[in-house]
Amino acid sequence: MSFEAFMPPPPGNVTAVLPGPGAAPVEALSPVLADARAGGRRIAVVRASVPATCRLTAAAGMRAGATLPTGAEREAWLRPLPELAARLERPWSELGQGERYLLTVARARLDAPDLLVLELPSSRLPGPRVLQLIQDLASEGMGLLWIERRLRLIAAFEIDAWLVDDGEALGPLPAPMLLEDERAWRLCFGGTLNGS
Amino acid sequence: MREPMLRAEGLSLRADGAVELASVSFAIERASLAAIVGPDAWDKDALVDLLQGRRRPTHGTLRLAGRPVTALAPAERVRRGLVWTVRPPLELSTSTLVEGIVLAMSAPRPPSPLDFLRRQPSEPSTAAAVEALQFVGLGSRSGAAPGQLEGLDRARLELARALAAKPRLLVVDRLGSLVPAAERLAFVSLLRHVAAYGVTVLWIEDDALLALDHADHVIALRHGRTLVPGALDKSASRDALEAAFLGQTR
Repeated sequence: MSFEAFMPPPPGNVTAVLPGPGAAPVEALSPVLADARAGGRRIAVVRASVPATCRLTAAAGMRAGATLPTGAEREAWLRPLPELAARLERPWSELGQGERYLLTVARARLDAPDLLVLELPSSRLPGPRVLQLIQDLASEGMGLLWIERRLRLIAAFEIDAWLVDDGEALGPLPAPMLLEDERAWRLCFGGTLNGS
Repeated sequence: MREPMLRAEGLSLRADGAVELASVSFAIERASLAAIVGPDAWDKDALVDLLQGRRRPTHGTLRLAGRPVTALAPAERVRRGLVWTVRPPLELSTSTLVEGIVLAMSAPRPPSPLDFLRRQPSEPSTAAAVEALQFVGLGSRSGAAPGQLEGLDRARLELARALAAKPRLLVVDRLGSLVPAAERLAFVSLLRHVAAYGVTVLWIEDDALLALDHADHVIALRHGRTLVPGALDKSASRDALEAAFLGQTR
């Protein structure tokens, strides 16, 4: 059991985490995130589960009482999420799974985090859209902790990756090499780090 | 020709407008070990809800041995022989395994959330509990406290609890994740043993490679849809399977 070497990425960096099938991925990382929070990082987390529903519009579901940005600020806020620009005033029930995920990203961005945790975006979004999202968010200078099981998506970036399963964190490994790594392959197909 | 033990036809589920399952169809042959795999958890969760009757499909039907069960309440499904393991397994706080299983079958009145586990609420049977424990290989430990069990034994106990309800179709919901890697094959052998005994097993499994190696049929879900219609042809569907799990960059 060792999380000692694992650090969340500093602002401007992306780290991928390939999780095992056990606990929900964000829970598995919660001690690390708690330490980072205690160290002064502003962390926002986007969960893979469908966000709380809303009977009204997507914008109303964003956050109770939140004032949403306007003008140039709004443009900057939605720049990595262009599909939402025309959808925020639509009824929540019209949004698809992918749009709901992007909406939670937009919600998280209201906090201006310096570390954004994305849990399993590819479970809700097509692969190419995930790649674009990671690229766009990374270019904004925040740290991105990207929890992902689809191996080819991780391997598309020159970033550090960690294999995390059952309290053990293995890394950092160069992401493009993961497709050759038997342990990563096993985790990707829902197996465990130590074989089955 | 006899109807398959389970037939799902065009199962669709929408929650607050968003699609959770889209026209999922498959058939599970009697006494087979059939697996459901997929890279995402939420569509498997949705399917489990429909099998248990916790939610109703927006469209489509479920038939157990030819008879519709789509509209039945969970307890009625159990009475008809559609039984499932629960996730995480029930914490049985009794002093022995036998008492734990009997208690799970006879949860106290008034109606409790455990009611759906009971097949014969009026006659909890110690004999059925002992028989189920022997079947899963816990016979020699039937006097042990449930809290002492770990790993494979904990999975065995949950299987015994479900088997005590005398299923025709047993839905095993990601029970393998309790089992350490070194004991996974023994877990699969146990499922195989259940199927050989004549109980159809629908094995919902996180470890797709394990399921592909050992199940009679594999149905793959991705983003709420079956990857190919019905069951996978294991060799011919390799590309589709890899694309689903590894992801597509274009």
